[in-house]
Amino acid sequence: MPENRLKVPLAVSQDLVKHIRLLALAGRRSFDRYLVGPIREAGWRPITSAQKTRKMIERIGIEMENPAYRHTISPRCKRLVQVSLSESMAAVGDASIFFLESMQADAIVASGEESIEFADIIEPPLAEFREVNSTKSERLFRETIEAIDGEELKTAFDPVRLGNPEQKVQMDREVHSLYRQIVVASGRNDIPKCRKLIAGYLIRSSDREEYDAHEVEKVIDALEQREPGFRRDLMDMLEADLYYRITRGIIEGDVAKAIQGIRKYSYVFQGSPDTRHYYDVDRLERALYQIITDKNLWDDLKK
Amino acid sequence: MAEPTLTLKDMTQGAVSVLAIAGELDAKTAPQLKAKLDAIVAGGVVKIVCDCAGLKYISSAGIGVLNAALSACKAKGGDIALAGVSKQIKDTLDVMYFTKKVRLFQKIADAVNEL
Repeated sequence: MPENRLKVPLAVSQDLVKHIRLLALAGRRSFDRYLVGPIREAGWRPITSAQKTRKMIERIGIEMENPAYRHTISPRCKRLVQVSLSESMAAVGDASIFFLESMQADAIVASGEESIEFADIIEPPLAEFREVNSTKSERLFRETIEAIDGEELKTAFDPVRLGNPEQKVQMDREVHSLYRQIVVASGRNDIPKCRKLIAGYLIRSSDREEYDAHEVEKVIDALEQREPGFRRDLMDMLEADLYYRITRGIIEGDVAKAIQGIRKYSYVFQGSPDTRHYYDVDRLERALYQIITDKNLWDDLKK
Repeated sequence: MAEPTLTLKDMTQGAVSVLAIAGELDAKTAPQLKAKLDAIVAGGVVKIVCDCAGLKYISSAGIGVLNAALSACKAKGGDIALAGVSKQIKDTLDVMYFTKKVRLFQKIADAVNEL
């Protein structure tokens, strides 16, 4: 964690959101240990309020649209988290995610004193949770894929095959629809929306046979020209999202989701060692291939 | 588990560089291959045959490095081919669809002649 941070980087807030979501799946004890406890210990006291967390989130969300309120969002989100502390664990999760997503949506919120303080408080315990979870995930993943049969594994590995002209037309339509939406969002200078649109498209399509990387690259290049750092932020967003999908698939015992996540991760990042979860995903991949070899399933997977 | 190791040895046959890759190609060793391929391409050789006879394991990190080098070579009018790929390695390349992008040969000499 860097000292004297001037803003909460996008990659950090995205990663924290994903880990809070994973924490929610890990149970109450983990949630208390890695999120609620550290917030209280940092001196953020519970506040009782007539307005519930849910209502406060709605109100702040509406006011974020108004530029006049932008500088008030960060302190109000701190209050929101404090109110949630007197309500329930779920409320703390909702408030924390809302606070972090507000930082992603608006650089002014990300630079707020309370935003920086909040990220500094929760980053170390969530990093600890990530370590614990990573070791546990690998073991769970091994146990799960050892238990499943060849047919299930084959389904999990199935890419979207786009062999016929109709399916290619459908893919072209998706790309054109993406362009239209990006043009609208970029016309409104809504760069976060452009990022979300492209990330969503890449996650859906990057492992398809007919995926046209060149076309998407052109769009990313254009947005990078307009907003330097766009590509890096997009990749950070994709990484956090894909890693979350993989880990969530493992925790929920949904091996298809985990395997598809690993494939998509591989296609998008193509072995770049600069990604945060590079070694974690590599370990899971090795475990997966070992079990496919042990079960002699390679030929079945390719049928 | 012991740390994966990778050994790389290259020699030039005319305009083609033959790079022998042996050991395990995963997240830990892929940067080593990337550095080697980058150096070969920077030296002006853009036709490369990877001799994979000694390759025991490959993950998507390794495939990613090969794919990036393949794109770089093709952009400069070159190509990359793989030779001596074992069934185990080919299975992984198939599942990752890399065999749709790169040409595979049994023998190094055939690959060199075709590039």
